[in-house]
Amino acid sequence: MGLETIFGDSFLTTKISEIAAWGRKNSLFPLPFGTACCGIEFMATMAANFDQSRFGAEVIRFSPRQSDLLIVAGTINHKMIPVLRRIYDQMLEPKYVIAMGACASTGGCYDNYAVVQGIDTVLPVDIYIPGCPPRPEAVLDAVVQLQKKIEKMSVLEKSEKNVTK
Amino acid sequence: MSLSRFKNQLEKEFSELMNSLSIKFDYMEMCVDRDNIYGVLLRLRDEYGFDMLSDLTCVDFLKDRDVFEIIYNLYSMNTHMRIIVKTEVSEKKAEIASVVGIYKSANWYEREVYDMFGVVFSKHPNMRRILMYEGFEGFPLRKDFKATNRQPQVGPVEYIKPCGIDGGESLDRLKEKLVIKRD
Repeated sequence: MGLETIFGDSFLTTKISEIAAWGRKNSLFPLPFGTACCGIEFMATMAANFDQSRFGAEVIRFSPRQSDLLIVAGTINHKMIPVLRRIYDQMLEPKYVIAMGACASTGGCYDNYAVVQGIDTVLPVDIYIPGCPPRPEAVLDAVVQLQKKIEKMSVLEKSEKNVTK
Repeated sequence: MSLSRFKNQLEKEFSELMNSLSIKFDYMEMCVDRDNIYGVLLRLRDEYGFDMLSDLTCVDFLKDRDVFEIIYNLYSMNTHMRIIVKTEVSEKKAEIASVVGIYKSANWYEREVYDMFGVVFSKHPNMRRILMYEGFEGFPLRKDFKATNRQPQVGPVEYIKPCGIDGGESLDRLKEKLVIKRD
C-alpha cells in the first residue's frame, strides 16, 4: 500500500496500520512444513478438540504463493535446507515463520552430522515453540503471541527480522 | 537338511575359497578373503539357492586392527536359511569388488557404505553419495569422525532431472563435479 507514504508518520497512518494489522492477524494462512512427529501434532491442533480456526488460522494452503505463515514442524536435515529456503523465498511479504518443536528450534536431541542445529541459521524466525512435541495448547499460545506481535507492526517500516548468520 | 550337515557340505565345497565357517545360533557365518568374494557369492546364489541379499553393512575396527569389515547377509527364500559372509578390507586401500551383477539390491547398500565409511566398490554403476548432501566432506560413521563436527550450509543447488538406476545424461554431468576422495 503506497498511499500512506504521502501522509508520513501521522495520525492517519496509525489508523491505517491498525486496520491492516487487524486484518492480517485475524486471517493467517498457514503453510505446515511438517516433516516429522510435530506435523502430526499440528494436525491434532487443527482438528476438533483443540480448534485452531477459533483464532482465524483455519485455511491451510500447501502452496507458498498462497500462504503467509510458514510453520516448520519437524526435524530438518542438511539436505532439506535448500528446499526449505526456496519455499520461504517464494512466499510474499508480509510473511511470518513459526519454529515448532525442539528439532526446528535448536536441533533437539540430535547433535550430529545430519541435523541442522536450528532453523534460525537459515530463516528469520518469529516465534519458537519448545516441546517434543509441544502440546496443542502451546501451539495455540504461539499463534496468539504471533497475533500480538503483528498488532505492533506498522505499515510504513519494513519489518526488521533477526537473521543469525 | 540339518544345519550341521549343511555346514559339513559347505566346508568340503568351499575349502579353498574361505577362511573359516562356524555355526552361530541358527545361522552360519563364513569368513572370506577380499579377492574371493565375488566367486563365493555367485556360487552360493546359483548352487545353494541363497537368492536374496538382505543386508550389506560395514564395521569399522579402529582400536585393535585397521580394517573395515564388510558383512553380507544372504537369505534363501525356499529353505529359510541364512548365511552371513564377512570380508575384511584394509583402511589404507579401501576397495572391494561390487556385487551388483549378482544381487541388484546391492546397488543402494553399497552406495550407503561408500557414503558412511568411504569404501569404494569398483565397477559400481552409480558410485556417489546417497544419504548426505553433495559437497559433504568426510565419512560420518567412521570411528574417527567427530560427532559434533559442523559443516557450512549449502545454498540452493540447481535442479537436475533424475535418471534411472543405471545412469544417464544427468549422472554424467554430476560425475564431472564429484570426485571420489580417498585418503
